[in-house]
Amino acid sequence: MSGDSVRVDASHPVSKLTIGDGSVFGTNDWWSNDDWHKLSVTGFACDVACDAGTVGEVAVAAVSIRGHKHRVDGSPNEDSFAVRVAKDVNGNEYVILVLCDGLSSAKFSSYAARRTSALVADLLQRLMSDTVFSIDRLKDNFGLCLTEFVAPELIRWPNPSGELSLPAYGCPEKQSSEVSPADLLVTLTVALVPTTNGTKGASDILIASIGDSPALILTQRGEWVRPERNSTDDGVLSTATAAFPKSTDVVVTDAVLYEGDCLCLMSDGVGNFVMNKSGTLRLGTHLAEAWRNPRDLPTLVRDISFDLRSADDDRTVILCWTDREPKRPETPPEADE
Amino acid sequence: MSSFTQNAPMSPPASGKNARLLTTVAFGAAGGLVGALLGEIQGEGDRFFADNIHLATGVWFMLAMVGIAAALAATESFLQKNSEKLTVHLPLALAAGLGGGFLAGVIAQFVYGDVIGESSPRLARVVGWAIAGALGGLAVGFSFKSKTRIRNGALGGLGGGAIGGFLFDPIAEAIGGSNAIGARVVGLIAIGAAIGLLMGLLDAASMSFSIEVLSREGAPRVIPLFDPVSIVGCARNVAVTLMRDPLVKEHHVRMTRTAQGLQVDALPGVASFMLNGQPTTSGLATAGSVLIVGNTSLRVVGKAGGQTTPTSYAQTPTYQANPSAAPVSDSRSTPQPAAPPPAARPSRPTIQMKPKK
Amino acid sequence: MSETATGENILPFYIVCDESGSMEGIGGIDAINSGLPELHSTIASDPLVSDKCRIGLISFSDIAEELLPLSRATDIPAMPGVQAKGVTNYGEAFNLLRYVIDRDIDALKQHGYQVYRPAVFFITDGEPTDDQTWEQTYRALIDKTTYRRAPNIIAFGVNGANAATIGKIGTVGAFIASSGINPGNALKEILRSLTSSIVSSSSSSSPQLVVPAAPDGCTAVPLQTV
Repeated sequence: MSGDSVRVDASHPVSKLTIGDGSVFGTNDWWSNDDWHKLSVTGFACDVACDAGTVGEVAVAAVSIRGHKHRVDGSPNEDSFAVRVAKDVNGNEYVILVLCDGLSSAKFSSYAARRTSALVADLLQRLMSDTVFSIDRLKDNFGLCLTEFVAPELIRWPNPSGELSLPAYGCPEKQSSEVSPADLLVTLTVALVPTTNGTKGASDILIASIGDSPALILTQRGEWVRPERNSTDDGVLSTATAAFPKSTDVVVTDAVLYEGDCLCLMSDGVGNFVMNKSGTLRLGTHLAEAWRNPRDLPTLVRDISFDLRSADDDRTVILCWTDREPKRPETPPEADE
Repeated sequence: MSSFTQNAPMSPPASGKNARLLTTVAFGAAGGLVGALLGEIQGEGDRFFADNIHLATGVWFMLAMVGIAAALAATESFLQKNSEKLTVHLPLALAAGLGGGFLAGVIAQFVYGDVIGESSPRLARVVGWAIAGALGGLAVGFSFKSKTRIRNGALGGLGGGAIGGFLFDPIAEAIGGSNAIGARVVGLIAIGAAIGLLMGLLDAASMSFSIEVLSREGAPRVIPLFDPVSIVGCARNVAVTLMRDPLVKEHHVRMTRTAQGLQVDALPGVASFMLNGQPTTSGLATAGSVLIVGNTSLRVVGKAGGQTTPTSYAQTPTYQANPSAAPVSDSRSTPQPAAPPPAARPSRPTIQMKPKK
Repeated sequence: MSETATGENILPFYIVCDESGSMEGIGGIDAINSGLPELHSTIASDPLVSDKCRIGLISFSDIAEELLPLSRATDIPAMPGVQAKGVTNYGEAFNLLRYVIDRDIDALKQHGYQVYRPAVFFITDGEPTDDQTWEQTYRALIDKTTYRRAPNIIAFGVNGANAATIGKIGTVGAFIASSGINPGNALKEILRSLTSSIVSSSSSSSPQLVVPAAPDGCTAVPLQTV
């Protein structure tokens, strides 16, 4: 076989995923003359960001896509994620998952999302190595930790004065005293997942959140389960949400991950189209099948690059499979009832 | 002249058709239950005409069919959310059900005892209940005063009765030989449901157009048109009854089914009505057309057609209020004098949109 | 293909426009009819807005009429324009609004869409002629405790409109044209302003009604309860 050959492996197609009729935005290529897909002038467009890897018995993949809205107006992705691994003093290993979604009404929410996700993940990593750390203490004091350790750091950046005044990592080009906390609002979703499955294949996990970015569990039966319940149905959609640092009222949920389940943290750019109060939506039905087992990264990127009318927000998911080895076929098993 | 482009004709949503069929089946089953309970009035050793098996069977069939006929006659009133129609349909269904049920029972006993005999009791039951169903269905259709529904009722009752009669014995065996009452109750429920199912299927097949009443109160209701000619008015015995609009006359317009659509004509005493935004006394309405009679908007819905999308409503004004009509929300307002018929309105300008880049 | 709903989001916008006889004399009819294609073009050419918003047009004089049912901008090749006639019956407009909102949201939800709270742009040039009765109908429309689909209303008044009445009708914003401004020009600016509101509201990835700044030649009016 010639060493100069070039092959495209047809077993890994990256085709387009369209839900329903598809959007007007999706009809154009990103380079088209309509200029619907602009670079971000300030950088950090983050059209695609992806982290993936394994630790212990779990496999984790995090993917973030810049939404159509920000591509059209040339602004950066306002979602961000952070994934860390930490051990507590007893040697129990956890994977730390953090997802932040900046509010569109907040002027510097892109920076806030990137900074907050990193700060929260680092904070949890440090706390877990503390001798007095316990999950219960964390549940009781997480809000306080956010107030004491994360919020003050969030509003500190090199001030644009002096000789070395380059903005660091996209921080606002203003004195921090000139920036209101309302300009740095983000939703926050955190999960702590043991890297080894517990007894009888069940692991206790912790989910903590501020705001409306959902954490869902995709069970081994292919069903979406939402561990926490909130809000009432007032007949029309509402975009009202709590946000950090204005709110530090953390909603803490204990959940159980069974072997074969997949924990999914999502920003509402994905979550709103997976399921709603009426049940699972069409995208959710597709992803429930697609994400039963870990997948290659280009396909994961394709999955959340779905084309669906009105889905123009940034899209971020963090997937944590408790079973690295796919032990079941891709097609769903026959129902036994 | 309408300035809108025509969209695909609207058909009743599949969920609406299924709901109608399911309602008819449910009412049939409920009627069977009522009929069975009525039949048990007699008791085992306490029958009317205890010394004459034919007459006794006639009474039992009569009681059973009264329940089924009455329930099925009430279906339309329920579906149209118009309790006034019960006062028209129910007495006719009861009277016809009583006579037809008695006759059916006598015939059935004759067939069972004297013709087919006990050599084939199952066949006898099928025949007996087929006759009973046909006569009961006839009674229901008669109560609607519609030739199409009389036909559907008779045929549906015939088929449904036969099916129910066929199932009667297996049901009795399943319930257990000692529980004769339970077997009769379940058997009659099955017969009632089967009659309702067949009648409902035939009704659905014979529906050509429906009228969607875009009332100001509550969700729109859909009234199917079964017959070649249908009257719209406030009379309780017409096909499309509009009770809440004081401007609608008893017989307001006549709708005649044609190959092209519905020919709509104002009836004597009616000055005009609105058809697709234009005042007229006569016109052709097709699927999607909107009529305004009195103060009520009606939309013509075709039997089959393109998919409805949330934006493809009737392309003409769907609502016009009469300044003299009392506000719906104010029950204390004094009744206003009837307004003169609306003057013919000049046609509106058509605003062309700029072509998209 | 699965019949499951997609969960597509929709923002409904209703433009409710006075077409009483007085609108003719101030150039209002021409201003509205010439402004509608501009509004349509702006919305239809934005890839995000056209997917997400739906617009409907209601006119009112002595009766209320739905000139354009709630539609995607790209699905509208033409629409009936407004035409001066009759008096100014607010109650009929609010009655019709309530009816179409219920009808449209029911239909959208039946097709699996997720619907944001409707927004209404109410444009009038005079005082209501049904001044004894319209307030009750209006209250029933906007009371969120009894009517879960109560719309957000931005009211605009020109010419003979009363500032206090405009302030009563708007629930999130109200504007009145200044007395020295040509009403026809004021109406053109109002249409531009509500176009901007529709685009801004629909463009946000977390849509909420963006109340526009006061149109040129108009001032904001304090909101009042009815």
